Amino acid sequence: MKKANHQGRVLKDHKQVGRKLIPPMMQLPNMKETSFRDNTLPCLVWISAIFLRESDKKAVHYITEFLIKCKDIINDKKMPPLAFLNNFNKLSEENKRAIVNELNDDAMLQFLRDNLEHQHHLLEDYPLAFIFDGYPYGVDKDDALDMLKEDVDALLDRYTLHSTKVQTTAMVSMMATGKLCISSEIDLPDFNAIFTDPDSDESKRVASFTRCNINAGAGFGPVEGGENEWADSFWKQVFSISECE
Amino acid sequence: MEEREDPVLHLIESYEDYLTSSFHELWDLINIEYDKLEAYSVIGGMLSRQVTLSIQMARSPNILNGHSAPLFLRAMTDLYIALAWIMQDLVDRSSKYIMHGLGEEKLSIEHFKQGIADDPDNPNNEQIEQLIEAKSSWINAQRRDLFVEVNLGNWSQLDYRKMSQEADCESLYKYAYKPFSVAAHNMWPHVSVYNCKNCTNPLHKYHLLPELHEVPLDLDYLYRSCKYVDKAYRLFIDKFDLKYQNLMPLEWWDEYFTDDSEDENSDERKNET
Repeated sequence: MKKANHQGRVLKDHKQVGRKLIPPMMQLPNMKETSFRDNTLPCLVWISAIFLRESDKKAVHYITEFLIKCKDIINDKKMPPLAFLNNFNKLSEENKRAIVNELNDDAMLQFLRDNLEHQHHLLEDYPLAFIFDGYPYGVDKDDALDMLKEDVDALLDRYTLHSTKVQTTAMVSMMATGKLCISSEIDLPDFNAIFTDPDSDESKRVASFTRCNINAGAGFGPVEGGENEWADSFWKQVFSISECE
Repeated sequence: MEEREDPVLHLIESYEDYLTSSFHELWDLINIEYDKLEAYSVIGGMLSRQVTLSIQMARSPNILNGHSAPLFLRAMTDLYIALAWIMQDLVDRSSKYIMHGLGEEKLSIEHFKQGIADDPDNPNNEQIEQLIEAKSSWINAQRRDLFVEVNLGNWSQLDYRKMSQEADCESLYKYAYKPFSVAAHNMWPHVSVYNCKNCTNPLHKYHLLPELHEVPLDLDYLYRSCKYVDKAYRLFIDKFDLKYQNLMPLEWWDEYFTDDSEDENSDERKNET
């Protein structure tokens, strides 16, 4: 019998189990798959909208300050990280009223309304709908739809600079509100690099660090993003409000 | 200047003429051994099949595209691997090939019979019974069906990868048979590219929609077909040490296209002077 003429096995780092070749990452115990697109994107779409239409400085300032103020107003350690939009649905009506009342004369509230009214207009059960209670606004539906498409399109590739800014801001706000605690032993990257020097190696570190932590923070269960009713509702609604192109 | 006929038609006719003549010339060189008649029937039939597939491709230029050509080419690479493997032990392996075929037909007959039993009022039953009769005659002309085994596994008891390794054509398996199998089996790598298009709506996550793509024709598919005929011819020439005088298929192909370009250049030089 002629000797087999293949030169050697490919995928040598894969483990053969029956007729399957399992890659190294899938051999790790307790692996859980999360989908940034399906589960996390809908929760960060509000931040994406702000970054698309405002300067980075204003966006970071108002988003972070808003979330810190929410934390101070609600004053509940069990409050989930509000960087993820779905978590606003977990607030009581009393909490929501308190937030609006406290921020009523604040430029921050107007800032959010201006940048998010298109989302509120299009999406039912929008988690931030409460900031529009009693607030008259006007937005053309087609314009709103175009803006929403931009918000989503900009996040679909989580490796872009825009996506990285959104995720970094979400993560930093979690740290600022005590929802994410990182040991002092860990060599944190300089998060500002994403904004000040996006092409640098430090920026790449930030991006990588952010994606991992967003996965970890947003991936496990409905409390911190992850699988949540809002994500499913979001994709169901946006699929039906626009046609295939 | 002489009016030239359609170049595609000229190619098709020339190629078919060449394949027909070369096939006969090659087969006429074979010295069939009296005590191995079935073995030679198998390899001869397979050679005919290989040439026929290429002729059919040539006659149907509209199938020379990514949708359809892989179906033919996969069959041709499949045939080559099987033929090369059979050639290594002609009598025993061709016998396995035949026996497996008989068993397949025996099983097919039983399925048809069961179909008739399950649906006695089917208006097609008379036709099916004729089909059963024809298949049964075909089997019994070779071996009484009482003695025909049905092999539910692969006829060679090896998968095609192992066959290709034994027959020293694993690269054909890896780089031709497997890729063409993706189309032949309608697998996702083929369907997602050839039968889908992206929805450009980001709110739809850029999902894939079905589409009837028109794809360009590519003569390269016919070239590949010619290549697999060439490989089959070489099997015979090497196995039986044949003194084949005609052009090999790839030589014919190269000469055909080289001659055409030389003729055009010659015409241009004449016009200039």
